[in-house]
Amino acid sequence: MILTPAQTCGPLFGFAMTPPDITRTVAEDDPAAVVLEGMVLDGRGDHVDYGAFLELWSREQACRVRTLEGRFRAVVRKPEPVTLPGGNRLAPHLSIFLFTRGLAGPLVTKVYFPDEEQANRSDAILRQVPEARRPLLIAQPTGVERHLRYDIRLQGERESVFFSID
Amino acid sequence: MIESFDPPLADSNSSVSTLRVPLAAPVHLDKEWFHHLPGPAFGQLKLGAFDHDLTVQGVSEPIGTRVIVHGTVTDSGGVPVKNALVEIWQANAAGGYRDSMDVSGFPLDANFYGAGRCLTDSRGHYRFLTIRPGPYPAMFKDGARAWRASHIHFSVLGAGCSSRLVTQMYFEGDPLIRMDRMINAIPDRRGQERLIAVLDEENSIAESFGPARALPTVDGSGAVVHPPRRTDPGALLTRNPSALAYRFDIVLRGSAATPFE
Ligand SMILES: [Fe+2]
Repeated sequence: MILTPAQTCGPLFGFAMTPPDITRTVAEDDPAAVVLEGMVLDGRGDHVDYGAFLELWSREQACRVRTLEGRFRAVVRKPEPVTLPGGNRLAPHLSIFLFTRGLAGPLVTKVYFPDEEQANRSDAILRQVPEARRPLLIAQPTGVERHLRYDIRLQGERESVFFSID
Repeated sequence: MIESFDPPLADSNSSVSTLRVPLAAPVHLDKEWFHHLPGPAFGQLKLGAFDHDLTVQGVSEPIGTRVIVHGTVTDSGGVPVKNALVEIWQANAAGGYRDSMDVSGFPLDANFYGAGRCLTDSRGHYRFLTIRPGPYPAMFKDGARAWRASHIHFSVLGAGCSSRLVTQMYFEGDPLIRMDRMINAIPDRRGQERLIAVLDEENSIAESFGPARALPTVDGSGAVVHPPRRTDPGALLTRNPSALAYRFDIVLRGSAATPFE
């Protein structure tokens, strides 16, 4: 069986990939809503020209957002923790798939929550990441309740942690 | 055996890749550590009645050759994937995208928006009706502009995000495929062939429909009637001069030295 090869999304996807309703999984004024905002930055620290689109997934939801002037904004329900069949425990988190021109396939990362310190410490995925880089996977509080900041750096000193899937 | 022929992540065609491909090695995770949703992806998304038919999204029909693009989504074991979300986006017949960042200057088609989506049925089958997109020149790494073959962008989401696929589909027999840098970034011909849709005569439709056009093409004297013509000579200078070049050599019968018989 030959798998269908990936190709880049190219620069011109904005008109097609974010129809109404797809950019949030919950109303912003819902008490369970979390607003996640951040930038997608390249190796020079510039926001990615022509933008990127991101898909955020947890067991109970998925949404897709795009960057405008480098900035994305997703409204999601805070996910529940997960226990995998093998017994591994995962803290509340979202998987992120990022697409942008210049890349033939998606970059895969995760975002964890800053108010889950204890669950994050025992999270089976974070424990596979070198300790010094773990904080890069945790969103930052903004001072505004239920609003978090999470930047994705494709390269550089604080390059985000990316994952490969077997 | 499962074979994968993805092109290198650094899309070698794009000058921006060098600043976008992460430099640290990725952390490997088992696919179980990603999420599987029970229903279709983006359950909050409402599919419209015409989302799969890009030829009826405008008030009138778009210009271009109509094509049915259909097929089956299966997993690597050949099992059909039902309820997969299949999304497409594409240029119009002239090679223009309805996107604010399209710099081609090619004309837009007021009746063509170029985006569609549908779910696979219980047998993993999807079907779109659209028009064949025109080719267009794109900028590549060395700053050169080169023509892309006609292609439709595809996004496919099965049950879990670990099988996520974004790709591009090409048309069998398109001579531009051999010079398209994007498909040729795939290192193996078998991989390239996976992206080339095959002409499907059996499922093609060839009908006539309706009366002849009520369009006056000759006047009462039998002379041809033309619509109004543009006479401004500056018009030629204000549009994108890009055009595919075709060479057409004509060899005349006989000898130039002797008149036709
Ligand atoms: Fe394209």
